[in-house]
Amino acid sequence: MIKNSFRYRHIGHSIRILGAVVSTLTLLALVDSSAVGASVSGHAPAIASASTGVAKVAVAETTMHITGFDAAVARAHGFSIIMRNGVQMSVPSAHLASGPDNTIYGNCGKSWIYLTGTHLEYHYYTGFSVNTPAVEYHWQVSIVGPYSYDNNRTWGGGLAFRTTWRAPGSGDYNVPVDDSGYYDGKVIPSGSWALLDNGGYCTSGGPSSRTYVP
Amino acid sequence: MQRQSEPPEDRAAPQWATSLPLFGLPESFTGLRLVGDREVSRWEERAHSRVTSGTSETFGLVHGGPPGRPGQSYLQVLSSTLPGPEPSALLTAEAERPEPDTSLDEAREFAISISLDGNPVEFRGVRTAAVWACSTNLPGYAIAVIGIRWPTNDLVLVPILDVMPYVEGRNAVIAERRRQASRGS
Repeated sequence: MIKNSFRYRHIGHSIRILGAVVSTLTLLALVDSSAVGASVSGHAPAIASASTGVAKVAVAETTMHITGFDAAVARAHGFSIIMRNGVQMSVPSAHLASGPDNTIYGNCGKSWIYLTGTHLEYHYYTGFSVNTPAVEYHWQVSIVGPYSYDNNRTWGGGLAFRTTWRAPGSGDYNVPVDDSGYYDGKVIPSGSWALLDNGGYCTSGGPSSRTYVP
Repeated sequence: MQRQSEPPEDRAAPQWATSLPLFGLPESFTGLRLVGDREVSRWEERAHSRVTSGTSETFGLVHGGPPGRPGQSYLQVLSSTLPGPEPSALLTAEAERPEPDTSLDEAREFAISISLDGNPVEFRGVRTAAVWACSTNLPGYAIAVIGIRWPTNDLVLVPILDVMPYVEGRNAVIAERRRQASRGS
């Protein structure tokens, strides 16, 4: 989470990003931010000086903005800098390295689910293609996330002899969420199948997808 | 997708009952009528102590064809909960059929007036040489029309109060396809 304000604190508190502050009592400015590798710009207001010799702490708040990422710093902390929808983001490298089975192939077609994350929002689409026209289907997707988040969606009905079905019809579902973290989506095989016009059934192999929502 | 001989355990027949207003060609059209794309979607989301849910629904009636074989001409009229499907998405879905002339090359926007229950209604959409799709939003629901090698001029749609002829038409086409499949195997 990226903080939009900071406070000067007594020496001894944890330090993540240092900002310079000058006062007659030589206080150290500390900024708490978990945006690893981020370059932060902000304007620290003047701190009232004390002439009594008693240590005082000045509190000031100001808006901060990420102006860029230091890829080397990010990498050193296990993060990678990526572009998502034209915006630079810092995401855990472990996520990028993982290879969920977004598309699973079988002997009568393939099925898929793709999740991507942007700031406090995830996006997904799902669907299937079969080798023979389908006339009926049912589809079930489960997406889970931090703090026991879950989102279950089903689709079902008839198809006009189609070989491909996808949801949504174009683009992605955009789902705003409260919390950052990993979100895992899965097509549930027991509830995901197509009835073909030749009477055969085709069942999903249960593709899955994981994304990090910053 | 993996072939399976037995029906899935949770298989339930599609729901043909709907509260959506349905539209189709008038009785003067004597060709094939069948249920087309029919979808009911439900979702439930749990976050912290909050639970939200929703549904969406689409019901399509096909005239002509039937779809699923190359070279057929047909018209599908879709009724949907709001927001309805985007014409560009409908066109894309048609292009995914394994037919040689439903490519999206040179797709362009168009607008037409369709008589809907006796009233002229403006529809906007996209079209290619062989396929077109257009839609309009009405109070409480959306109507979309997809034409495959079907003329756009002088289209007249009337309310369809009895969907059973469409269900029977669909069942007859499926039965015929299965006969063909069993003969071929």
